[in-house]
Amino acid sequence: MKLIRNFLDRIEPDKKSSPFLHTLWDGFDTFLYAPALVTKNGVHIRDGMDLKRTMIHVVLAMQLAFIAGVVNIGHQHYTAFGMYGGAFQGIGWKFAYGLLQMLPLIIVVHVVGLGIEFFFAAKKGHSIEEGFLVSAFLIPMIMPPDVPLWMVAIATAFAVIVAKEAFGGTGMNILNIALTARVFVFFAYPSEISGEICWISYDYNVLHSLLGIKAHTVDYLANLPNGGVAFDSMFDEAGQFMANSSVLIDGWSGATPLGLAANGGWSAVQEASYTIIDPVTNKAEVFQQYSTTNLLLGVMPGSIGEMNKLAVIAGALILAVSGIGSWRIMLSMVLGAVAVAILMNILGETLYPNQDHFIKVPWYYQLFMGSFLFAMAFMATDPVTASGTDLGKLFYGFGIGAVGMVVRVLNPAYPEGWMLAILFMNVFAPLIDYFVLQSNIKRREARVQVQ
Amino acid sequence: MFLNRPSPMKRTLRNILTLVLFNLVATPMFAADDSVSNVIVFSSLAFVIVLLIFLALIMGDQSIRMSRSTLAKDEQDLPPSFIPSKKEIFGINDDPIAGDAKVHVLDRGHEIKLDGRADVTLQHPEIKLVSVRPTDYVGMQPIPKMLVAEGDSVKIGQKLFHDRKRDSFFFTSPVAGKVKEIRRGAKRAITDVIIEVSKRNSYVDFGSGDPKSMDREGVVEKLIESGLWVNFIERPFGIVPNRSTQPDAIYISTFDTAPLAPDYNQILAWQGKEGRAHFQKGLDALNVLAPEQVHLGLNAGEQPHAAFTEAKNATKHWFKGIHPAGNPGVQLHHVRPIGPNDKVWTLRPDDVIMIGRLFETGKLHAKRIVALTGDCLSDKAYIEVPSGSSIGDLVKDRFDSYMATDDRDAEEKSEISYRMVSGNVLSGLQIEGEGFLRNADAHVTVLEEGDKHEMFGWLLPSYPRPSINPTIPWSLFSFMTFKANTNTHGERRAFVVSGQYESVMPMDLYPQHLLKSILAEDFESIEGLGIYEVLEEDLALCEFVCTSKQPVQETLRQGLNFIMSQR
Repeated sequence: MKLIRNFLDRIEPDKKSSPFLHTLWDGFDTFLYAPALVTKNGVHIRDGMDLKRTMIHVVLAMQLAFIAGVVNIGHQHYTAFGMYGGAFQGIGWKFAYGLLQMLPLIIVVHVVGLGIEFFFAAKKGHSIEEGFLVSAFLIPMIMPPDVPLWMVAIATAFAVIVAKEAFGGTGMNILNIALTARVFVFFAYPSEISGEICWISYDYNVLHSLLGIKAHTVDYLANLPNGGVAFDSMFDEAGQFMANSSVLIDGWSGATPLGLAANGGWSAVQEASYTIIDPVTNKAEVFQQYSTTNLLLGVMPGSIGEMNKLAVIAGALILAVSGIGSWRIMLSMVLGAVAVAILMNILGETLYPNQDHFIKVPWYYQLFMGSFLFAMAFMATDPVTASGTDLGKLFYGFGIGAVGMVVRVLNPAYPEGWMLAILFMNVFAPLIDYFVLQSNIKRREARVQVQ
Repeated sequence: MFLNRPSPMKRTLRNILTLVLFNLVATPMFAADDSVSNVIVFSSLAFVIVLLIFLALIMGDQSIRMSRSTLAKDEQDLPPSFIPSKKEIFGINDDPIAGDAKVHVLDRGHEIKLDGRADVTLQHPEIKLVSVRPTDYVGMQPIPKMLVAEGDSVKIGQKLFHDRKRDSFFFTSPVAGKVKEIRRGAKRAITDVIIEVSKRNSYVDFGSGDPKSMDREGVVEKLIESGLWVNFIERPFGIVPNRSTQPDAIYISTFDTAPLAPDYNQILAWQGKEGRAHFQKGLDALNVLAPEQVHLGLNAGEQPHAAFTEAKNATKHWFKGIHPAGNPGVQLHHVRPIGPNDKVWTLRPDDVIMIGRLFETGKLHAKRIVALTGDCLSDKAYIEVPSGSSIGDLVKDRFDSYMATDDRDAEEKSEISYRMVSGNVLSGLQIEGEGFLRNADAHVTVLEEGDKHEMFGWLLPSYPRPSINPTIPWSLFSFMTFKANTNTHGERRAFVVSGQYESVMPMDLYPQHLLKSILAEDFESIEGLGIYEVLEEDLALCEFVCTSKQPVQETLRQGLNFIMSQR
């Protein structure tokens, strides 16, 4: 213990002559050791909580959802080829595939984001702020699993520079950083983040090839008892995956439940199914793709983190109980979404009495499709971009729930709304606070005047 | 107000609400869905309706309370609340101490449970040096006009110096002895006037007299001449009041809820009948300064001393709650909010006793009973010493004898240093060397310095520490008491977490927004967000809980100075 401490003290670079080196050293030093700073006049003792601990707890709360998401990437990948149809079949391969698909994403986001953060920290002469710890984990979680790495790198750079550093760093930003990264991809490269093909990972990257995961799949497909399939037929000449590839199993579609519901209403979601032929018995088995259990456990295509609803709810509970995420925002967001969804249901009965339509999807299923819960737990509760007053948080959350549901259901192009709703309410949060503070000011003025 | 016909706006809203509710109930009936989802729909509807009714009740009740609080006392004909209290239904009185009086229950706050409370014993240690410090008072000129020189001998109550701008602020010697040193700090500002205490007491006679029979000018003159005037703290801004100021109210909080704070009931008990009489006499004197406007804040959670409960010529207010419920600022917020043009003076109970004693005997009796607290001291006790005493040697002895019994190994022990704080750990002043107390303080806290690195301290805290956050595991156990040290447990950051300050502030304020407007020097917001109602000690708890380790009290003082400079 002492040895490391002494070593760190010995190699401390000079702050003036080499600011970049010192920032790097400082980041590492404060990561390894809580600093030996003492209070000056003011309070003489301080609470044990600091920002590093706050941020790491958000990251920890995300881990269940992360693991579930990783397994699900693998599950969707293998199921598409007819391999390992059951939830627990080949779970090791699924986990390995998903993790290796995720790792480059996480590394790229961290390298780009922390690199910029570090540059600005050294330039401004303050220590590296830990706000990006959370953003760097959130950005991969809200991307489609197959998104190109360079795209994520550009989006992360854009988000960190424009949404954060331009405003002065952690604590000063107006827009949620992770969502800014996603909205960048959404508007700059819409085909990569909407439609049917992007939500399932079909490709193999370098890591998969190196560690033999690709070989495993090729062997498995080629040696199927029913004659096997040629793996190469999945890709065109440029190496791009073909969506209509013949190796995909019968009835398979990468459409998310929301995508289906937007086109065919709730019945389309329930009817979606695929057939897997068991390689040993050669018997065909039909699976319902989006049963209620599947929706709950997140066995479906989509962004990486939003899948397993139970894991996300567990994360939300951790945040709410520890007081790190505001329960007010979470609760009012649910209320807002439910209120609008019920209103939609009522409206739907009047507008489309005899046909199925997105608007008539029962409101309690609306909550379990798409990224509603993930946005509620980890996105809306970002304390910097949310309202700063307790009363304001209620309005803020309700606003996100209501606006998000409107965007999801009534928007013709893209059947999901939380990203845009949260960014929208981010912009309005200061206004909500303004009104809350004005009412506080008036109330107290009245009290003083009565005296 | 409910009998009036509702406005068209309200009627429209009501119609829309009825329609929506009707639709809500009707939709599932016509839906061709399975019965299970109908059950879900109906049960959640029932839940929502109950919730709505409950919400409407609560909101109505709150609005009645709010509108009632804006009325003057004699116009308050509305019932205090829709919802009957426990007292009204069952006849149970939660606050038997307060009797039938109204109790302000302050439910927000935080009690930092520290080890090292003072034992209930009174000691009289010998004090060699005493210092009177101009720097203890806000708004003093840095170089006061000296009335004595080094080597002069002084009596108790003899004038030492006064402020250059306002020559009514006299600072007098709390002891008899010889001026040993006039210490100067940066830019030759006088930081300490140090007096060596002699064995024999000699007093300046101010003449005794019954304050009730004196006029205001006489009382003021006596307080200024004796140097007790500077103990008044004028809110807003926390300054020493001007001679000509007529206070709107004088407020005395009779209990201190700060960590390890002295127990004024006990202090009163040691002073016996005499102390009680002096306290009453002090109140009488204050009543001359602010007729009918002397207020006492009493603790409904613990039986206060009879001197407080049976005090005459003072309005009593009862409070129940954890820190900062004992702060005069917090109590004033609930009983007499301070506006920009108000002048409210606060005092501590032992200052009142000093004033009473002055009028009774004609002599200045500047001795205080000081609570000597802190987990790293042996023999923690109350000590009776002159105000401004040097306690450095005393603390060092007790710290050394505590360390001798400590079971840590010798190498670790050799690295431990301690910090003396005059006052409590939240808003006290760090004192060094001889350790001169602040003139107004009746509390000393000694705690270990935390200047040590802690491996992965931010992730895996290695020893218990106080916190309001449940992720620090020890905060979950209400029986835990802590040996706190002065480590900041993290580095300073920008404001990130919100709602934290409000959760420990039993006031209708938004401290974080107040601080932000101070940093932006936005005059109107600073005023509007209630800077007149707070002093540093009121926001001290916010600084303790702050995740971003912001210097809350320093920023608030900046804001107070900024507003003062603009007026």
